[in-house]
Amino acid sequence: MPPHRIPAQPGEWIDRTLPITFKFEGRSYKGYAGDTLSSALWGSGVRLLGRSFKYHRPRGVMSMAAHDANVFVEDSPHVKNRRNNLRGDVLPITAKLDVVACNTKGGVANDWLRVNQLFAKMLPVGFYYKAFHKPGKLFPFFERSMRGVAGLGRIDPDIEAVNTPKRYDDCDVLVIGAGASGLSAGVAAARAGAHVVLGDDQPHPGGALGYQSPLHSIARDRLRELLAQAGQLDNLDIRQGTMAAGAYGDLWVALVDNDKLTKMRARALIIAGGAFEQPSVFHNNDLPGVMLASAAQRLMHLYGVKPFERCVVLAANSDGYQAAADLRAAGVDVAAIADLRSGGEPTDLAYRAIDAGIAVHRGHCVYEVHPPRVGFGVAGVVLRKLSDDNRPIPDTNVLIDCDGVAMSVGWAPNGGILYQAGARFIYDDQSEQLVSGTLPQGVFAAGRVNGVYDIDDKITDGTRAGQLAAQHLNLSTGSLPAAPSRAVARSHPYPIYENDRHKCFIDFDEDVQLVDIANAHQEGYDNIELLKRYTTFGMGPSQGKLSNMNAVRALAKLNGAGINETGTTTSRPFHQPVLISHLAGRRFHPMRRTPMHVWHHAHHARFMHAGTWYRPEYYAQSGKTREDCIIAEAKRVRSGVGMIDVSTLGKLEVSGPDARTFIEQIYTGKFGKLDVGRTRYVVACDESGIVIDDGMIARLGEDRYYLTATSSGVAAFYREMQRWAILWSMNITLANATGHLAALNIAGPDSRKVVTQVTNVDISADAIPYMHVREGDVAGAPARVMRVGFVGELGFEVHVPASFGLRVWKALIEAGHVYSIGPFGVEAQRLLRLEKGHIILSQDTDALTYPDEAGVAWAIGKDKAFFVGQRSIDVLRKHDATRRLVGFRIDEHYRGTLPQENHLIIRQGKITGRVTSVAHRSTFGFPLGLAYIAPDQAKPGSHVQIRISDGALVPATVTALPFYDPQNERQKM
Amino acid sequence: MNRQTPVHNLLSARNPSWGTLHDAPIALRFVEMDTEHEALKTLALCDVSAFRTIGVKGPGAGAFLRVQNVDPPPLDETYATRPLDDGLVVRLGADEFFLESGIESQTYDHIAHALTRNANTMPGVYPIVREDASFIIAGKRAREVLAQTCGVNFRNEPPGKVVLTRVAGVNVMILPSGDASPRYRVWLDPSYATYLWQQLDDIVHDLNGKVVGAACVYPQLA
Repeated sequence: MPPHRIPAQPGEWIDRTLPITFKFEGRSYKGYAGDTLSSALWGSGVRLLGRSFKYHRPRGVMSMAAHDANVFVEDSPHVKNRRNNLRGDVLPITAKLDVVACNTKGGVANDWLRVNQLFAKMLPVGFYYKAFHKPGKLFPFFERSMRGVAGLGRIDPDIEAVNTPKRYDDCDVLVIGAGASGLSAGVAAARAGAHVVLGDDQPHPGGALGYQSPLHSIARDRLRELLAQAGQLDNLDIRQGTMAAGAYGDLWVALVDNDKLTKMRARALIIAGGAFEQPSVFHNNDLPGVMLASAAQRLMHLYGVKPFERCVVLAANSDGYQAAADLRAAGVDVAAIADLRSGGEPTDLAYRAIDAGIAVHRGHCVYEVHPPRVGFGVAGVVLRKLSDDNRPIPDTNVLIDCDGVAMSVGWAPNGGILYQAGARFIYDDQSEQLVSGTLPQGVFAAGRVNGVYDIDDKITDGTRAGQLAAQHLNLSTGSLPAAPSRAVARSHPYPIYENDRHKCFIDFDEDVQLVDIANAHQEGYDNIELLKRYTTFGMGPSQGKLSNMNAVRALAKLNGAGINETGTTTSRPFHQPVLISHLAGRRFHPMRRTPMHVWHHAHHARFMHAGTWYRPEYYAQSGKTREDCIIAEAKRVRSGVGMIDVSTLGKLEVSGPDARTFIEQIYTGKFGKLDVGRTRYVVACDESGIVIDDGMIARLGEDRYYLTATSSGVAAFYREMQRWAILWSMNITLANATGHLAALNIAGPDSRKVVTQVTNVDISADAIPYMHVREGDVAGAPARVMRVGFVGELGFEVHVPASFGLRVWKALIEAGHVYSIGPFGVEAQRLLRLEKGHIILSQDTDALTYPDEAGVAWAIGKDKAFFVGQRSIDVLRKHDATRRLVGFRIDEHYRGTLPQENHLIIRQGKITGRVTSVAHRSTFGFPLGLAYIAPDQAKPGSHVQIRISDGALVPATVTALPFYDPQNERQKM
Repeated sequence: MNRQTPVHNLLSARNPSWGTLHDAPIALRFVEMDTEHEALKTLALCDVSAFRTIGVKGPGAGAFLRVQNVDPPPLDETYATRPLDDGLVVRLGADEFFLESGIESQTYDHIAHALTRNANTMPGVYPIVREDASFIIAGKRAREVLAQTCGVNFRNEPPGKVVLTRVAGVNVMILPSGDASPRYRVWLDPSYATYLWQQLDDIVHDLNGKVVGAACVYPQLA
């Protein structure tokens, strides 16, 4: 047996028949299956497991309960898909495990950042709020330096994405914690007929029964009985290795296991998560070898590891004496028990300790711990007698040589999930512990979170909670067992001892010392939440599980207040660290594709995101640049015929007796003379007169209208229409057919020749003039055909059911072959419409644009009784306009850097506008664009200057719109 | 064939045996029928978007259907379904219905024809273009697929009534059926079909399920 291992323990978690060799810091070590990294290293005699965050002090085992934030490791640099910030105290060892400590420079043993300890006086609490901002020019240096040493872990940018499932689940009762109270709660609720899920973060059930008193037959018997009862219940689903990471509204709890995150929605929630043992605060309370008594017990009983050779137990309760007995049984020489209580231990555990030859120092604290001259760990401790007011009395030192200290001075409830579920905690003076006070409906607590510690009491409390949950769900009635009392205090009210040499750590994660709390308080941080943020206690990876209570006690003392008056910090999800891959899940990002997507892909489309849609930006051609491709596509439309997939357009239907009235009120225009078969450009505003959507309206029947809306805005606009329809009590029927219809725009002087080949609709100029609609058949599909002119050429928009879309597209491409038809993408369309001076909503408008500014005032009907935004527009018109959307062009001989969208118009050093759209090349050859400018600059021929990113000013000339075909003759062909 | 389901291309890549349904190609089988039948019991994903769908809305929609000899679910049974030959009709609201053809679809054809022919002449009855994609998730582990993608607890949802919810972030309508071997019909906007199919296919694959052909679910197509 290895020297640091003890004989097999009843119920231990390791399998001694399966030895495992693993690597830590480049060296090989041996452990057993079931070991964690920390237990295996401690069992191999390694004491230095990690370095602290700020001072890079040596650290070892503290809790062995997933809260050892200084024992974070990451995969060695040569490991593929490197993981980081793995907690050593819960990381299972495997034969492939090859890890190094996080947060070191030069390895954990030779970490040169330990030099920070020498500068500790220059790094007081909140130093980064006060330093480094002067002189300003050195800030980048300071920032780089700080970033170089701060933070935990190194992200591997080449890591492969992992598809982690994330699932929903439901149950009647969710129990958190599989200790005595959790198991009994689960059994009681399940016996009443509830579907119960019990989640527990440990690999095996039992909670403290497994490590705090496993040598007692009563603990073993109770655990066996509870597991036997649970095993008989099909409706009790026990999930080991499953932690509750966060609680949200409506009893929604995030359960995290090795593989996934489960969003569990329960009808009742029972928290029986136990309590966290708390450290005492004294000089060097962080050295490797100073640990919680429960950590020592976990090492012994769960992993068969001997925590120390010779130790001192610091106790303030019976648990410490039990730990001393356990240590002795494991062959550890327990040199002394320092009992913070002047009266000592009231139970017979005290006599047993004395009988065993352990020196019991009542009313003594551990005042300081001394490190060895060489190596890492503990060489000895100094005990001091305590005064009546709990202060170490000078000159009462008791020096003891030892290699470890086991601290058992009290507990804090594992109440994070309860807090998040809406519970409130109160400090119970009798048990010197926070206990659950007010609980929301459907939430129950049991066991140590209630301050109940005795095994049978915990079982009673759990049974009571299970029955209460069942009654809450109307599954049972009847009397309940009485709530157990919590008469005996297990926690010391102030296990904190100042030392002039400092290094009395309140928070091990962030290296926050007792003196930091005092200094922050002196600076005025006397509120617990502010103190937390200023000192950063409780903000490290363990989220204050080992530090919050001591910080609250320290602040309460400084304020001269009680714990309830001082309050506690807020618990927010996540209660425990969760892997980002678990949070990401399968990364659902719904994206929409048009029916012609496959064709575009096959024809080398370069796709862009347009809202939630994939749209072809342009079609790549061998040997041509992006710009060349775009210009070629645009020129094809100007000279022949091109086709663009506009299926992403919003497509809405308004029908019913009130349809016309509704449309009159939604849009700015007048539609009294819009006959069946005609279409019109429409603009919609919100109540403040801001343009929110535009499109086309087609009257299909007496009370039937078909509308198009902007691709990315249609969902919101449709909701707005529904809202108005309800408010106005209109007798109309609305439908959003956006995804159900494909739409194609065939544009160019040859477009009629192409479309006519595949349709039974008469599309001659007389039969379907500009801005008209017809219904019929196109390439075998029922279709709506509209004459449009967005790109400034003769054009037809064909709308067909989505399942026909690809066929119709292909038929038109085939029909247009002799006319050299080709597809054009969004960029070519943007250029063509820009040449025509047509706006794109959200690009040429913003959240403050009203119709007059955007040049679409002509779409406002005169003498209308009402439309949404009318009154606001009237008010706005009474004020001087501040900007106008105009066209501008840049000299074709200009060779400098060209402006981009959102570059500013500058006049005499002041901003007078901004560019909204720009084309560096147009079908005319010169750059052009749209911009908002001051009204007095808006006259065509005015010269303006555009400031580009490097600060240079680019001259431009305001140009009348449209740039192309001002008489609109081409689109009316 | 004029029509094509929105996931046609994804299915083509698996080289299925093709059939025809309502003027659209339909993947009938991908592997041996016995294997697909086995998958149908454990976990299977199937595209049945070739069925035709249409909506009818408006204050006269219910009366219109009754005139066509269809018995739609009554007013107080929103989201309930009724057979429409071998297809179905769903009440989605007071004045809104969703219809899907079956394989034969005589009644569906009759209604769809009446709706489109008289679209502008029937006051209070308005046809709605519905080109829903439609998938089937079937088998004992089907619920696990939904558990990973949807917040609804389908253990509590009665069969025969559709649920309007979201799957993998997409608005869908789901019709649960079966108990020992659950089966879920999922309808959705076709523009999301490729995305959702890929997500479901990934999950089904991770759960050792299979994509199966429509003949496995509808033997009369074989």
